[in-house]
Amino acid sequence: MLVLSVSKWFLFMLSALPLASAPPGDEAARILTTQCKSCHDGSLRPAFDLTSPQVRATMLKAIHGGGPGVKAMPPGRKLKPEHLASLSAWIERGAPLPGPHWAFTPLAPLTPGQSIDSLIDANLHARGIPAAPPAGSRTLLRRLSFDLTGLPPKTKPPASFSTYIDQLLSSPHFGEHWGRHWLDVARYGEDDYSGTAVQPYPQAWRFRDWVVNSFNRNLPYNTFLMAQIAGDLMNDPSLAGGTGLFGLGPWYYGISQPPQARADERHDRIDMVSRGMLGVTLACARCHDHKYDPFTQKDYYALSGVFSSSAYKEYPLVPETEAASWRTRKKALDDAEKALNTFLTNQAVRLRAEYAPGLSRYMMATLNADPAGLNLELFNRWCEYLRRPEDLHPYLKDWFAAPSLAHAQAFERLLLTIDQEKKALDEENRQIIAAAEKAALKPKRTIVLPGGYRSEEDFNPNAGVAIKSLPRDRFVAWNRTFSEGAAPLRFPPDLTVKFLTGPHKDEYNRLLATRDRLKKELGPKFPYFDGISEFDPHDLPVDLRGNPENTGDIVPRRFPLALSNNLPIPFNEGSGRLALARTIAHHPLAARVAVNRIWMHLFGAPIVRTPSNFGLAGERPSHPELLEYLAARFAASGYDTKALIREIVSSRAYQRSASGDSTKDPANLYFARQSRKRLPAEPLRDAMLAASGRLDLRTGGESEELTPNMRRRTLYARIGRFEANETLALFDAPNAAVTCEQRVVTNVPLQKLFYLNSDLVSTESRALGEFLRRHGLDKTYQRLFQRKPTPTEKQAARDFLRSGGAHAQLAQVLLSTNEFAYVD
Amino acid sequence: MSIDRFPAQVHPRFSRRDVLGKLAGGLGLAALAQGAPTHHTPRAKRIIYIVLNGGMSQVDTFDPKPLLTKYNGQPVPGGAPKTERATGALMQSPFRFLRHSSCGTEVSEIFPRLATLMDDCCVIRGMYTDVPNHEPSLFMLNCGAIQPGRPSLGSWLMYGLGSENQNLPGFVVLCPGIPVVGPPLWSSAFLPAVFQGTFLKTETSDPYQLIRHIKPQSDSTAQRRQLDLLSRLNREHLAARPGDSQLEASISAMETAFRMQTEAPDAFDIRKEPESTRDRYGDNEFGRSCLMARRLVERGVRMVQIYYGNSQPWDNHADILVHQRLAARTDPAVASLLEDLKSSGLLSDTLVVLGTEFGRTPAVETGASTNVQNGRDHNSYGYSIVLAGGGVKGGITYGATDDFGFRAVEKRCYNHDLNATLLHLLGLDHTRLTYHYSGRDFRLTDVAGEVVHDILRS
Repeated sequence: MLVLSVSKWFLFMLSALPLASAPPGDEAARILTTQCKSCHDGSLRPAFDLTSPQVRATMLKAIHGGGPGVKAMPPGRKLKPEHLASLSAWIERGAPLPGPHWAFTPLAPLTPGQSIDSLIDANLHARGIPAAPPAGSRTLLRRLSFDLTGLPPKTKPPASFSTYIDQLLSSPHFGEHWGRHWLDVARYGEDDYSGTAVQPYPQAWRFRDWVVNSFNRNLPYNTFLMAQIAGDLMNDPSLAGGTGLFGLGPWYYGISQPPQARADERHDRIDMVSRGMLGVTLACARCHDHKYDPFTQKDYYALSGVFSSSAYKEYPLVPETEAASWRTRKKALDDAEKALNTFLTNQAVRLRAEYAPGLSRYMMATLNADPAGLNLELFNRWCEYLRRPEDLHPYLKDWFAAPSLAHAQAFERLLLTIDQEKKALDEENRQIIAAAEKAALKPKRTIVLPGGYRSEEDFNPNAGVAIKSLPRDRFVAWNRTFSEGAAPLRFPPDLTVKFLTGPHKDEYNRLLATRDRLKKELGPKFPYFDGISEFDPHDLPVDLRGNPENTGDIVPRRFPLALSNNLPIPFNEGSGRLALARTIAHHPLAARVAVNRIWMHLFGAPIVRTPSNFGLAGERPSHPELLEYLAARFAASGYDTKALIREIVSSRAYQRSASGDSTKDPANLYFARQSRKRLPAEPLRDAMLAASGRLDLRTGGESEELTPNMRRRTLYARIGRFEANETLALFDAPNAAVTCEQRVVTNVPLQKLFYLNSDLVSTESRALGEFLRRHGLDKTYQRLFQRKPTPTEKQAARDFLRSGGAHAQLAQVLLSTNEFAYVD
Repeated sequence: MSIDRFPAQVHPRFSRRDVLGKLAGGLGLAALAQGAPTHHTPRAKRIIYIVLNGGMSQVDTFDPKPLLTKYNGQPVPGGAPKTERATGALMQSPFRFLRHSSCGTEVSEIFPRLATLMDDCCVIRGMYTDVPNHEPSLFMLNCGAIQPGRPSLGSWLMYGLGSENQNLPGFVVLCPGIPVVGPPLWSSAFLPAVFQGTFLKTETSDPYQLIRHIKPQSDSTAQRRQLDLLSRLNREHLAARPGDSQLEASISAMETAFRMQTEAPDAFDIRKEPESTRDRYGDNEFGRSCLMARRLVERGVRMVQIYYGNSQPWDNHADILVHQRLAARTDPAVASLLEDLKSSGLLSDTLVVLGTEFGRTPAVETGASTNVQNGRDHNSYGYSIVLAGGGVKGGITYGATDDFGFRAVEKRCYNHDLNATLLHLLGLDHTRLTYHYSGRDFRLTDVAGEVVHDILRS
């Protein structure tokens, strides 16, 4: 007799049978998973024996409102009628164990005779949905150009669309556009932050270029994925740049306690790999076993260990000797800087000791504003100091009540005494801290993040060591006089320099000259890319309830069991990254997820409408056979991205009009017509610059700030994680902190304000206005819309100009039209 | 179809695809504005959320502890819980407490005017959170998680309710510069980007510098002429593509934008307030922020969040007396805000929160990273916040910390409970305000949160 706990049963049903198109058990599994599993997780309730007719009868009764001795399930709410129906039918059929989850199965072999169009058309036919007519050639011209390169088409129509497609696929702009699609998934950003301190990655663009070049040279997609996990271990220098995926963070620096911050970083890596590459939400298993999918908390930490065994690395792109030489020069400069600062600090101490005795003379001099015989700079500071109302320390009350020499001298004596006390305390504290550090001496795991940021286990070193301090009022008196911003006897570097004479001055000049010379000699930093490398391989324990300060059993590094047919794939060579990369590269999920995304970019909607979640709670594919066909074709072609795109855009389905009959399928779930797509932020701006003739199409290189002066493609605008570029965010560019599943499209008035009043649109309008004035409306329409204006459009433009509108204003209107922003 | 008459069908319970479809169709902030249905009758229609960033000390402000005075200088009985830095003996508050409202709620002398308004305020004294570090606690306060990557309260409200005024941004964040963490605190994360907070640096009061792209680049006659032409061209384009709601919405959005150009600058321009009013709030960045917040909620902005200052001014590790200087600006501004909202009647459906990311230790900080020992360390175990208006009972305190003010011990209130309560007051059930993203229903309160019914006006 088969007796299984529900949780085991869940695992079982997800791991064995071959794929079929939505088998009834599959639907039952989905319902049980989403509606029942949160309570029936195997630990709270007894196991069910599904082979027992009595148990099945009880289940049936429970979901139908219960009865004597049977509780209604789920408690407190009702199943949706369609869920109730399919669950009942399944139970009545004897609750056959369903197949494994469709997405986790091996790719089905290709069926001869299938094609994109045969699969789409069969579906349309079966549902009686009429297919839209083919799009006109102008529409197709625009669609292909924007979809493949993100740029508007050249005005000349192509000789044939098949050569046109080849041209577009071999254009360097293809990689720019499709690289940007991947950068959304790769949560590509060029900085991180801690507090309000931004940590920029000035050469992050090298990873962006690596991605773009990978698409342009049609690097097989599975190699592309592998390189981003383990490019440093693949014996091909052209692949190492892929490790920028993790080299560029996000790194969380001092955002929280180091164990937490490092655990959060690993969490990002797991999310990136699992959702970004495999379309599963393994990150949900950080604190507990996954609620829907068959992933355990151990699966999570088994993968986390791989990333804990890898660390940030800066990879020089020059010979090591050259990099070493720069680092030596940098070290020399740092040392010189330090020597200069130390000198000035020592001089400040000397000056304070020189001017503190006799401070009462300055106080008295402020009374009649007579600085005779005193240092004028210090005198002015004393005037300023004594002008400020005394709000927080009590030692000047007498002086303010009745200024007198006696009070000034008393104040001076007090300050000198406090200064001595402070010195003694500082020394005592130094010893306390040294002793504490010595006592705490234990091997620490130090991780170096970008920029040389060192992360030890301590968040705020020595903050936990209790030291001694002056009483508050005495400290305030000392601080106000000697130390804080406007303190009269504080000698900040610029002031100290003014006081230097003789040999002190000579020494200062010498140190300064050395520093300046070294600064000049340093030169810009050598080119490098941010990546990761192997680091201290080890397994991690489970963090109980996700708390890195409270750990459980150690888990050996391996792939999630449910994704490997429950056969462990160990990751014990080095960090395990290379094995992880290989496993992902050949995993059917990677292919399914990739083809679904490609489809999404070309049709405006994916086949699986949760493109980064192919798990049990994700959507089922609208066209399972089509998805399998595409994935199998993709794998069989050696993961040839361009070939797949060529096949899709050559299909009749892709080339249909976007204006077909929508009555039978308003949401276009079955792809009977194309989607009308609003240009995303980048192509939208690129198209404006192309229209005005100002677009600079050079490829690659450093990022720049997105300002009206920028003329390169939007891809080259700097992407911040601390602060998103407002223009890009306005047009729905994704947040760079976390992998983006799919961009949303919004259509709001704030975007229209951008058209009305932004410097960017106004700059492009002026340039386009000039073109319009010189070349007329026909040529302008050709450039913007690849067609002639209609007679009414011509009339409207004439009316506009005649009633006082300027050419630049007319150009601005044309750039703001729906026709400009939407691609049919 | 005009946006103004568009039936508001977007509802938190609708699926993500519905919402996104409607956003793409231009419904967005504009049509969400038309009274999107709530889960129940809301008590508050808008919220002003003031963050005294850095960590306001409860025992020096809203949670008087006579025993802390009595045992001043003595070790913490049973030892102090672990916080970020070393702490030493108990340290009494240097401030007296006043009882200046008829309800009897005691308030520190550093808030003399707020002390007279306690009949309208509820002090939650049993707040606690998880982590005694700023960043995670600020993320928890705003986004309901200690890590980045979740939408903020304001973004959830925009998603759930939209704005009451389609000519203004619905979620505005004010700060003189940038608070610790900064923009990720008002991020919409995986919610549509239009739901993120509109951040304004209040170091300037020129409205044209405050809002991007609001200053018309040409006079209104010229602009009107352009819009008329645009409308003509767009309608011809639409005629060949009948029934495409995205295109229709785009046309309407342009008209809305045109109107925003006049309405928005006026809302942000506090120079239009009489000088006497500006003086009452205080002629400083925080005072100006509070005054601007009042003008914005008067015009239907859904949420205004105010950070007291750059970085984290209330983080007084070394000297708790600095609280006095900070309160000297906070007190008149917040008191004036409450008084004005009350006299205009807006307080009845405007919720005001005076919050902070965590409290401070009743024990003096002694760790080696501070050079004088008159301050307090971060304290995630217990702290106080103040709520007023918008359906909250006035004149009460709720919950309590222990005898010295270290830990919340009675009617404890976690950040998720607070957020659940705020959403409840705004008419939303925190367990039903969900967004389906990547296969999971996310919510502000994660899998926790209980509405604190005891503080709701019946």
